[in-house]
Amino acid sequence: MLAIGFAAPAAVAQGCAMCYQNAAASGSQGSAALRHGILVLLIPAISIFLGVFGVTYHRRNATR
Amino acid sequence: MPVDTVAELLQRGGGGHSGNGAPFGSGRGGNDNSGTPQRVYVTGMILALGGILMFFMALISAWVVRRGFPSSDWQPIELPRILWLNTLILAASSFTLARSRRCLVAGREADHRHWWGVTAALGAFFLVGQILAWRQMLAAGLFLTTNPASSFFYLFTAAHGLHVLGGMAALLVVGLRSTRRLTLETATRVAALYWHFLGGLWLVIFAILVVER
Repeated sequence: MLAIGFAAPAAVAQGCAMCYQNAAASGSQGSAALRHGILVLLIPAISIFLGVFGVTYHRRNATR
Repeated sequence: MPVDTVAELLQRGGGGHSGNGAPFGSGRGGNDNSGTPQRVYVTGMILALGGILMFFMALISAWVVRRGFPSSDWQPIELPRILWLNTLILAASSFTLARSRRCLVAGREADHRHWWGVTAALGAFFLVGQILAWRQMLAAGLFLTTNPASSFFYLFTAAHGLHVLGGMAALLVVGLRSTRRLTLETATRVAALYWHFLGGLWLVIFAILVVER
């Protein structure tokens, strides 16, 4: 996934043009707010992923 | 043959239909009345909690972005003091629920019912307290559309309150023994998971509202 992401940098820049314009026009304070908001969304998503991964790994031999 | 005590239920162990008219089947942490393991319900509840968590984190993320954006219309609000009392009440309800479950495991059905009822009562007090907080906000002239801060206050408290209402329904269903599918142990465990989660979630929301000032 990471390799694909790095191999296609144009895809990273994709998104809503209006959102991009708004974010670009919001200045450094607005950019910081957006970054923090994205981080807040990232925390539970990563936690859930790691939790599911951890449980799966912990019980990898449960059905044997 | 009627089942008189939780201890009898727990001592029987295993699953399967009891056929005795008992509201809950037998078993302690084993299978429910249809043979489904308890962990299936627990896993289902954890997944549901993950979804609820993401919903609230989306709201919190929106709050972070909206508050951080350079605009003049964000005005910090004075929180109603009753929210502190409500927080204490909800925290206390988590303790009484844990105590109720301990009584169930120990086979003390009367104590289990007592503390379960206390938990439901505390939940009702919390909801009444939240309504009072809303009334205080309205009396102070802070409405849903007054400013973004008040909008988020109503949004957070309403979303959480609706989930608490669902938790109250779960507490009542388990308390009145009105489900036949789950064992008592499974039903109390799943309901407790949900209730403790709502308690923790409120602490996070309340901390955000306090910090926002």
